[in-house]
Amino acid sequence: MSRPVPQPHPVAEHRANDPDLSIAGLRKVLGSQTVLDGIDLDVSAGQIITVLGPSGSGKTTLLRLICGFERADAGVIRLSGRLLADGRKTHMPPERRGVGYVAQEGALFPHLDVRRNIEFGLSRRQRATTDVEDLLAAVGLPASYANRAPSALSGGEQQRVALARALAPGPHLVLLDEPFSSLDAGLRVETRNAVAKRLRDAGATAILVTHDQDEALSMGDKVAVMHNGRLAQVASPRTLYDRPANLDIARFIGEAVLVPGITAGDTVDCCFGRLQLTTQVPRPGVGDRRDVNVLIRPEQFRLCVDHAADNQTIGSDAFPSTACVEQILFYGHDARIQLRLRDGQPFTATVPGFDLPAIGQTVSFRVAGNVYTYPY
Amino acid sequence: MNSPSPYRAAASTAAAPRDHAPPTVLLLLAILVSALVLAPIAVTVFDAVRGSVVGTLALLFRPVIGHLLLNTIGLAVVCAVGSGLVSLAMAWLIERSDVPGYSIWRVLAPLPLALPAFVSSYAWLSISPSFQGAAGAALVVSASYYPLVYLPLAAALRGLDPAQEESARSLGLSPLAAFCRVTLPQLRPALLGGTLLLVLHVLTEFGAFALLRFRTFTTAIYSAYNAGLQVKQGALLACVLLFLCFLCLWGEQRLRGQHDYASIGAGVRRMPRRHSLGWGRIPALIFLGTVFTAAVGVPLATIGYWLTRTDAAAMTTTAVSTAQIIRVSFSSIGYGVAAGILTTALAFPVAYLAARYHNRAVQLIERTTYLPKGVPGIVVALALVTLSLQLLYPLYQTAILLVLAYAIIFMPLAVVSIRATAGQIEPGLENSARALGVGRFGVFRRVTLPLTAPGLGSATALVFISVCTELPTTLLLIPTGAHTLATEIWAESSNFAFAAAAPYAAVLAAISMLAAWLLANRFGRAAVA
Repeated sequence: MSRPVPQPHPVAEHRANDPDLSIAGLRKVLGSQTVLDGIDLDVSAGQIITVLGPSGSGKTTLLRLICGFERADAGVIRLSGRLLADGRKTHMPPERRGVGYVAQEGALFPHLDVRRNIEFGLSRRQRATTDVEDLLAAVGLPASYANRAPSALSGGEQQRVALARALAPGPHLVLLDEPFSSLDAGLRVETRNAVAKRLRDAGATAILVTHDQDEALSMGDKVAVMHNGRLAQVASPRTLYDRPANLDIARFIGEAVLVPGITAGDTVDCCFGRLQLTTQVPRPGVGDRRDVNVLIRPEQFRLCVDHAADNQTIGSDAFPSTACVEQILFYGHDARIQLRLRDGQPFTATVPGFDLPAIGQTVSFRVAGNVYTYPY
Repeated sequence: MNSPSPYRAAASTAAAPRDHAPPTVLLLLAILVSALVLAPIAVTVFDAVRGSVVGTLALLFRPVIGHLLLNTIGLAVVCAVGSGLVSLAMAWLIERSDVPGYSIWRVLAPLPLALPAFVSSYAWLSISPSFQGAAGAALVVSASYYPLVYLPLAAALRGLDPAQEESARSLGLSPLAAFCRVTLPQLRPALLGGTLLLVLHVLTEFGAFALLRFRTFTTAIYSAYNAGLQVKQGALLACVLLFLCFLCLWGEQRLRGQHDYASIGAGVRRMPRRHSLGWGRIPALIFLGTVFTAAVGVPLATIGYWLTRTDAAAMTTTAVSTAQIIRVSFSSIGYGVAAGILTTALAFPVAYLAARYHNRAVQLIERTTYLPKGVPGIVVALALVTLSLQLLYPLYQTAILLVLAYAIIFMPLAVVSIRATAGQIEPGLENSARALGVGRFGVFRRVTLPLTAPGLGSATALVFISVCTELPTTLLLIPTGAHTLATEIWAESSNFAFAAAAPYAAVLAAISMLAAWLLANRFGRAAVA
């Protein structure tokens, strides 16, 4: 991909006057079910927000409301200062919103070739000045694809064309509805990277809906976790993973080992010994000798697997605790190890796959990095 | 970009295992069936070109043929355009709008197909003789056959991914523009295919045009036959008609390949949002109601009216008794059952081979058995009359010849429905049975036949309905003194004895609609069309 990214795109212009998407108090009721229950969300220009949630959490409905495919029951949606929706009073039709949309499987028009698909949303004058080959190159596809039928493309290629089509008219905002969910694993990563690169190159403001955690964490500047029609937490991927707002989110994002503990200053005492607390954010209760739940991620456990010198390292300062290996699930690049402390507390550790203990072996370990706590 | 792993594509490129040569017995049977199907066409062409070339050309380029062409094609175009517009509006209203009771309209819309066009003609004619002529013919035939266009359109509309229209909206198109630029182009194959099928039906229709006194090729062929069996003239007319029909059939088959673009992906599709009609719901309801009334309501109500008019039955020459009605009904049912069984039996070898073996010979045989779709019943009948008069005189005017004619005409129906089920049987099943130690015949009896049974059932039922409602072949080939519901309706309404025809029409409509309903329930809506 040596070709330069085509410019100029109107997206870049909007960036200057900071087109914010702002959503306040958005509600949507379908039948007897409240699908969206008071959504507040602000997206600043050029940001990519991923909306993560289990199926049925309302994330697709949120997208469809922003696009204008559905009408809101209450709440306000503004884009770059324009009012898109205001409860049941105002509903701007989708074609006037300037919101690009990439559907789950691309929804390319099967009766038009790739070029016509990409040019679909352009006026005749825009068509004359737009270079479809450049737009294709920007999503990592060769110019020769312009004359192909959509059915002659793979799923990943279709998604890239769909993105090129959505970006061509220079929308204020691009919405992507689980765009990679129908792709197989290898293709998914490849397509995801290409799409992320294209969105960043274009400086596009984007919202991507997904139920895939890796996708949400790796693509988003911010991740919005959605649950039962509410946004449970909106935060950067690091913050979300290191300091989930509550226990439910802690268990939902990644894997969590949760054990009881008692705080002591900026440390906490638990069955794994005295651990350092995350200190960046002052939290009520810290330092008060309070009962808390301690959140540790499985990859924070560092095992000392020294088959020869078993007894010398056990209990040393570097690896202060010991546990018994009960089960090993080997995945190649890494492995999940089920361990049990002498007092019976089970826990899971994720370790690199190249150096594994044997089942039944007693290993020493330590907890690396800081941990986070929740009031008991 | 990563280079794709060579292992990734491996699974999908594994070729389907090719079967070896088809069993000889089945192949011979199938060849025999296709010869049977080809016979009437061959006889017609042979009769038409026999004699001097000059004489043939002189007969061909007569003003009367030009007149017939104009009549037939003109009517076909009017019906095609009218039905196309009506069907498009109906399909959109029923599938994409919030018109009240759309799920009921879905059931009602294809219903006119279950009512034979000549029965509708009889009903309209009995209201006023002014329905005779081109306008009446166009109205009645369009009302009877529009579902041929509506059904594929509605199916195509249902199959479209609503995300496409939504994407078009988000790219700046108004709802109307999105429909015209995204939806309509994708409906085109269905629209064209359905229209060609409709034109084919208009070309082959006989009863409705005969009753409404509108001259087309079919009625002219019938006249030629009645006027002392002018074989060559009739055959020439038939050849011109065959040419038109095959043109339609060829076009329709070509379109069928690209029938739907389908969705490109394979994932879940959300239900389309129904467009809100607002105040337009009232005119929409009136529109749907009018179409349905014209197509089904008026004919059924008229039959009902004449049933109560027992005194007017005096208009007929022969008294209509209950015993007579029952006898005629059973005669119709008898022919229907016999033809249903024979056609299904003959179609099975062809359909099974076509589903299982994909070589040239089998393909050719299969294609041949589809030809009768483009051969009007009256052409088959005429060919069989001349054939039996010249070569097989003992068969002339016997029930055997009539049932054979039915089998030829309705062979495509049976082949299609059996092939559909036979094609769904995985070859792996039969192989598994063989591996379990069951012999070839045992596998056929215990695996293949039970799995094909639904197809055999629907084939028999389809042929049964079609035979009951068939008119021209029956008129020409029925043994002297025998009667069916169709011939009785024809005879009575030709003499304007509308009350006398009513009981037969009622029974015929009941049988046909009941069978169509059972078929649709049992095998899905698509089975009826």
